[in-house]
Amino acid sequence: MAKDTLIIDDCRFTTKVLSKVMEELGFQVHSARSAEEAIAFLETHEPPSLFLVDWVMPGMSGVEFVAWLREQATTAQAPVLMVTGERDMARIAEAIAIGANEYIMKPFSREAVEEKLQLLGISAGGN
Amino acid sequence: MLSQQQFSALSTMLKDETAVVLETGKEYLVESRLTCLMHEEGYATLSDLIDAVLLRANPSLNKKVLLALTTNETSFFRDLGAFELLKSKVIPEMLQSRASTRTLTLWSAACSAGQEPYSLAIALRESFPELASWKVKIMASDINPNMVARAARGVYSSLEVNRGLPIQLLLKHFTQQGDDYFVSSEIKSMISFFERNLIADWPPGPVDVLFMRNVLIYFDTDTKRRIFEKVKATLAPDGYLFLGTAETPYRIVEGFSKVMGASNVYQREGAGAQKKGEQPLKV
Ligand SMILES: C[S@@+](CC[C@H](N)C(=O)[O-])C[C@H]1O[C@@H](n2cnc3c(N)ncnc32)[C@H](O)[C@@H]1O
Repeated sequence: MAKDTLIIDDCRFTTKVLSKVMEELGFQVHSARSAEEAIAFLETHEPPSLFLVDWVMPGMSGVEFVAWLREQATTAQAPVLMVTGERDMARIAEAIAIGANEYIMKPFSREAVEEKLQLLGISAGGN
Repeated sequence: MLSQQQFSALSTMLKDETAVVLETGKEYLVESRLTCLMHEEGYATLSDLIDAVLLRANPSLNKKVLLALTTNETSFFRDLGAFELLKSKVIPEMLQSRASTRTLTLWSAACSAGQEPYSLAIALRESFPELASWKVKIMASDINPNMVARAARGVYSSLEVNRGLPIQLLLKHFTQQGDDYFVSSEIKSMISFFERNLIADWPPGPVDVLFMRNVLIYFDTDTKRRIFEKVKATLAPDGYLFLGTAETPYRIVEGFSKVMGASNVYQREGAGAQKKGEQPLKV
């Protein structure tokens, strides 16, 4: 079965670019415009194989969302790749300490996404 | 636009000096890569620039043109499987076989902007702390002096550290100043950088682990053969040769066998693999 991913980003442009990359890599893509929308999504859906999370969004921030994910039994271990404009290493370290598994700084290339998926050991096909 | 004669004269010059082959049909590559340089150097057209180059009137201009025509694309931990094999098999084996001399020599032989040798140094530092008491030499070279200088500086943009570098390793081995990420001096001090053309003299061996990736693809078969012969003379008898995913000694030279389970890693025939009861693929 193909894997799926949930993109959580308030920026339509990023969502569009990221969706295209992930679809081309064989993922089924869902998207949410805010962390709140993502939480609502998770009430009615199984957790996706991968979360792609922006940091600065209106309402709950991406990092707060990651902290929330880590508290839920079903997503405590779920792979989280943050894709954000935050490039300060001290801030990045915070996101990792809270539980993000990998991190991409915007702007990013398609190759960067592919390489991070490899680092996470995630591919769309099979298991 | 450049003429067919200009293109072929330019590719001959490139091949003579760097061994890099520009195939016909790659005219667009020449145009896209030389247009900036044309403006910088104050030529009105590409054709004028190339005429100047072919006259060989200005050696520094010629050098710039040749370097602009070679590809420097690279990333950290490129082809992750190669680094996994390094950690799971190659270095553990070397730790045993070199236990008496406690010396280990690695060479990144077309290092571009340095991501490859830094990945090697970081991998060793992360996974083999015991090597701290060994004499470990990591050499890194490239034909392009600008690339060697960049590699030696070890300063990268966010776009570059995005590419293949695990975030934990960025946090651990780099510091930040503004938009730049600096490799730690500890990692930097593990590597010696120098300029080297692979078709000229090679450093003295033996080299235990040779990374020569994504550079043979630009050479023709004769050049590849000559380079593989140099590998044989330089690689330790039980050393490992890491090639790019599209590169192989198959049908070019005899005497290398592919290491099982790895994408593109080779040993000299009869080396290590058999004694461990594995069946290397003969190529
Ligand atoms: C595509 S990069 C490969 C970088 C790195 N090894 C990797 O796999 O990511 C190719 C490099 O080969 C270098 N190169 C081209 N011709 C060469 C030659 N004759 N001798 C040494 N280096 C050469 C180029 O300058 C360039 O930096």
